Amino acid sequence: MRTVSVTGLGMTQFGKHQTTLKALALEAGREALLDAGRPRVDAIFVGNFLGGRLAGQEILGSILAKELGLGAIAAAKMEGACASGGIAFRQAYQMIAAGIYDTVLVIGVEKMSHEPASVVNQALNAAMDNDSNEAVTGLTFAGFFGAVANRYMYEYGAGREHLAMVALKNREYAMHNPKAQYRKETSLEEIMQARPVTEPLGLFHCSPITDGAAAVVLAAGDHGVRVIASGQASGPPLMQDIPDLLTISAIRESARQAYEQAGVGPDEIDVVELHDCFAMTEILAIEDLGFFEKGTGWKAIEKGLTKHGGKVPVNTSGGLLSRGHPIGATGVSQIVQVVSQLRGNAVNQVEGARIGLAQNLGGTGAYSVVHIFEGKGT
Amino acid sequence: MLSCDACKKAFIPPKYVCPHCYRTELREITVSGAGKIYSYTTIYIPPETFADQAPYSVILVELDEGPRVTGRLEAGEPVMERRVELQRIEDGVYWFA
Repeated sequence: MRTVSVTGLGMTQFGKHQTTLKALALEAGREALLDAGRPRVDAIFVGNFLGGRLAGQEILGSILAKELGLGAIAAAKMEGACASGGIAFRQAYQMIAAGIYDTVLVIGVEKMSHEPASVVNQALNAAMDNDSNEAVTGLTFAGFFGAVANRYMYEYGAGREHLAMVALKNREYAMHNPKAQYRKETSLEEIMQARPVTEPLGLFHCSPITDGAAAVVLAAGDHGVRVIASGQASGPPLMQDIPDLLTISAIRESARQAYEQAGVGPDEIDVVELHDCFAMTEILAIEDLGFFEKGTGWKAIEKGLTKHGGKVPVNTSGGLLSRGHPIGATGVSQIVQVVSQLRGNAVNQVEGARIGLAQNLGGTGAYSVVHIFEGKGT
Repeated sequence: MLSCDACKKAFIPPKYVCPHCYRTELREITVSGAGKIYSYTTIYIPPETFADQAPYSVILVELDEGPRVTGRLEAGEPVMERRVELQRIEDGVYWFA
């Protein structure tokens, strides 16, 4: 397996855009290619979830190859709900590591804000198994994490305030990120009194509806930030099939593969971007990624261990909660932030960050992808 | 529920293939329908098709026989560990009380 590095980064503002799905993807893709020195690209992989349903657009790979003047290269879209971007990145990594391609462009993109929230929420249910009793029962994607939160608080003694602390931490980080969707100062009180979405989760505990795109260029060799591991696993899409509701097994397994491949453990990770689709998800993820024992994640949040000055800063970009969650773009934008940290020019820079981890989740733990990166030291 | 005779595993319908032995002949069996609430949530922002029902509670019931099933609570507020019984299955939805 060859060495693979990230040589180019690109990202649009995350938020509500009046422009199109194609325009967003092109903006990020162009920026990444220019950042990489406009190399010849052998393939393009696109991460996108609802382009067909919400924007009436498929064939994104081919469209973007043409619009970016990349030639008659291979193109494909990868989908894994909210893990689409991370999965597209992993495909590129694997193809280069295996010696099949030398340079690959990965673009993640989503355009969601142009439809009413009720339409978007209905579309999001495509991340569940709709040929099941659960679908006709009215369980939503957010509802699943609400049920997880209620059981977690019941079993481990966490309180609603811990969910709010996650949202507050990520908002505080986003306030310094010019590309983040939500940068307005808030408080625990405002978060806890916000409109309920699915009990116990309110507006601030849920990732928003966002438009945006992010892109990276990967290349064989050592001329960038090295990708030192890639892990992926699946999990049960149905809530009733999950053996332990308070463990996301796909995160555990994808992380296990990545740590083994990289030859590092959680203690050696300097900075993390993980998938906080809901505040509860971040609490589970820091446990299932091995940073804290099962059932103690809420205490770690309370003690400030997941921000600067703690054990490991998590979601320095603002996370999905405040940076935004344009679904297909998210996994790629996490990687943009981690690589920026390792380049030494990130927002909310972690001093001396040398090893970073990005974890991207799809659906109710149906997919998880973990990548570990090594910089040259800042 | 649907049961695979060959490997004695039970599933909540619909189920097309037994993922263990790949048999497609799954037999309908009846279970007690009694269990306890393992978790729940109350949904305030519903998908379009459930707009007229919001807010509504979805519960995850741990049946006495072992498997869990996602269902709805007919009336009242869900409480952790409360015992419930299946009242009816209507259009694929498991209603408990």
